[in-house]
Amino acid sequence: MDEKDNIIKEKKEEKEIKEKKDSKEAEEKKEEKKVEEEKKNEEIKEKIVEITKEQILCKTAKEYFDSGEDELKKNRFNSALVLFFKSLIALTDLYIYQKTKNTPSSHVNRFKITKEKFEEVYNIIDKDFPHYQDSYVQLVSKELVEVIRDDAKIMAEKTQIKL
Amino acid sequence: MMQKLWQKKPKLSYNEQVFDIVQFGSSVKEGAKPNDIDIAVIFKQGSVKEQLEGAQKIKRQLEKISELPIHIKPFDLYSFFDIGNFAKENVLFYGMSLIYGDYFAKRFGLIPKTYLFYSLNDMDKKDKVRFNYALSGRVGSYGLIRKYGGRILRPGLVEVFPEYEDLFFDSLKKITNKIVLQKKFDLA
Repeated sequence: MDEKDNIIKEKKEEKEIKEKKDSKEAEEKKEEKKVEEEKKNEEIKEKIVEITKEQILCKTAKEYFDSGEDELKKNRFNSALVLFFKSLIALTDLYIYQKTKNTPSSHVNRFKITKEKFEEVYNIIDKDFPHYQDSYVQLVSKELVEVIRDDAKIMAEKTQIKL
Repeated sequence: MMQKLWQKKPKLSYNEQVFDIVQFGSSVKEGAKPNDIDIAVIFKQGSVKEQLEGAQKIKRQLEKISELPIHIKPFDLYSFFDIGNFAKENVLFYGMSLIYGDYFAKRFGLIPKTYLFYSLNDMDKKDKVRFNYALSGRVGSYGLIRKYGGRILRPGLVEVFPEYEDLFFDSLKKITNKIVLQKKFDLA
């Protein structure tokens, strides 16, 4: 009788151990799955931010460029210059984002990044920036507006954006 | 490294379409503390694109010899005198040529001068003496005229160089409020 009891007891213990083991494994699997899911969500989230940032910069660049064209047609050169320059800057930020996954926080930061890493881009914006600044107080020529527009087009090519 | 680049007459590389390279604004004024150096590049002719690129090349060269940021602006002779160019009076009156190391206005046969009118009427004798000492100096110390040039044309009128006008004005204003500046050009 005792022997039988012992066997039953042993089996019961074995069963308990197995159940505990199974439950631990299940929990571990669950945890792994959770971590995996979280990682996946994070990746999706990052991708959404990436797309959104690119899309925003692309959209604003196009919008400013189109508005610049409209103003140019109306011979409103100062407004056209400001808009083409804004388009140029949106494209510059897009270029920086495509290369570094970061966007500049200010003009100073933008100039610093381009001067250090993308000299060709720096030369374009550094050349055009004073004219954007002066456009508030000086009458600008059509020819100057066309130069800024062409520079925006150069940046559009660099970022592979169709304006 | 210096602020008055024009005094250095830097050896710059530029194309034959450049009429002059002019330093102007607060950086040419004695005693000023400018944040940047204003430079106007005046072209004889050429497309705007060529002018912008030409000015940019000059800017890169000037950046190497300046501690302060360079703010460069290209013009051709036509756009320089355009009514829309608000900087022209400043460039013409205070501008110093980096190519010739002299007043830019001299390229047009003009010499810029500042007249400083003052009145010592109704002033204490003590302040009159202070004013004269400040202007002409006294035994053992130079006055503004000896230090910075200029001349007394008649009592109540001093002619000074434009780059020193603020220095004269600020120093003498401490003694009397009856003081005004007038800008003028002499024929060279």
